[in-house]
Amino acid sequence: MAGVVHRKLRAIGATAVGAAAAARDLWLLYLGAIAGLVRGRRGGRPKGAFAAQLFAIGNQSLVFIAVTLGFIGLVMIYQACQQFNRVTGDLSQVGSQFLKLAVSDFAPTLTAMMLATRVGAGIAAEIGSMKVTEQIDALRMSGVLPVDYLITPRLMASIVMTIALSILGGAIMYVAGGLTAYYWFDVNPRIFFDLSAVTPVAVVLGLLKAASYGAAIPIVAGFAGLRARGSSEGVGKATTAAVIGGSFAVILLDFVISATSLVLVGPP
Amino acid sequence: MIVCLVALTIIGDLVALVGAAIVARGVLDIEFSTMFYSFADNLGTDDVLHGVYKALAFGTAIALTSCHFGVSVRGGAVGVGRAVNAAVVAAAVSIMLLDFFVTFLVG
Repeated sequence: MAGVVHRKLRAIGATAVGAAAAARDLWLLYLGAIAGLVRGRRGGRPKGAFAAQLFAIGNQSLVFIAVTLGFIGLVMIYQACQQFNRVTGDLSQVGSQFLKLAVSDFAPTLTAMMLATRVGAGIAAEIGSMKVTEQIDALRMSGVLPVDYLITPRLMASIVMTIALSILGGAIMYVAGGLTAYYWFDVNPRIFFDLSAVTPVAVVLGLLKAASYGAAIPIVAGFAGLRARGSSEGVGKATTAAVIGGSFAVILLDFVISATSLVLVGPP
Repeated sequence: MIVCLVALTIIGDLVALVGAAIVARGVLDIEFSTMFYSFADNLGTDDVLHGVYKALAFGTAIALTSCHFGVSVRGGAVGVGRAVNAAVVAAAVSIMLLDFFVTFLVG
């Protein structure tokens, strides 16, 4: 009996120690990537890496984000109108309330969730396969800092592109919602596209969220990739860990930023 | 995948409702009893089944797309990475599309 308790306790303790070590490593990777930003080219960041990552993270996710966010907007407004019909029957507020929520929360969070799957999986797969084929060690051998070479350009590009795609995805979601409301529920577009409910606080909050998600996704994914070991199976595991960790980081940051802004400046 | 997704959807529903009740109690001072009477009054079998239908569709889509990219993988570790990426993208897109179609079919 005592042996069982002892083993269980030891297993819990080992998990906790492992989690603490992983959190420390993640934090160090983040600091390293920012240090790489300060070091600039001296750390071995190749010329054009930033632009290449902007393209890979931003332009190549464009269709994906447009399709997914467009359909989310359709379904959300359809459901919202049905619920409004059931409760009040007054659909004039749907558009402005939806826009308010979209600006401060839905647009950045849903865009970042989508990017966490697409971009996070891509980064983890790329870095993970470099790691298991010992290319990371080869980089270090040639006097290049792997973090500067791989993580820093992705961090910069991801912050820029998450903000850009959030704005674009939010706009697509809003327009798709407006079309749904017009075609299925006869809501006048002039009433739906009412921008008056958006406050400056909501805009700043949304942009701040987009920037933090953009910073979190490549760090979590890069961390998962750099921990890959073994062969193809290890790369697969790293990719899964990146997607789960990235989505979880987005939800956690959403909660922390929303709660902090609620306490500091009140509801948006 | 289908069985597990249906089960997880129902568990997720419960956890979401409990979480909402806790936040409503803490932030907005709405009593638990008010919240749960409201749930009991406004939630029908149809609402839960709506989620279950979607879980059926999504479970099928996720399992099929992932297995397709898994069995057609080639090219070692790099290929596995690419397949995982493609599977994630295909699953996410098919979830969004099916969400739309199931919503309109079920109504």
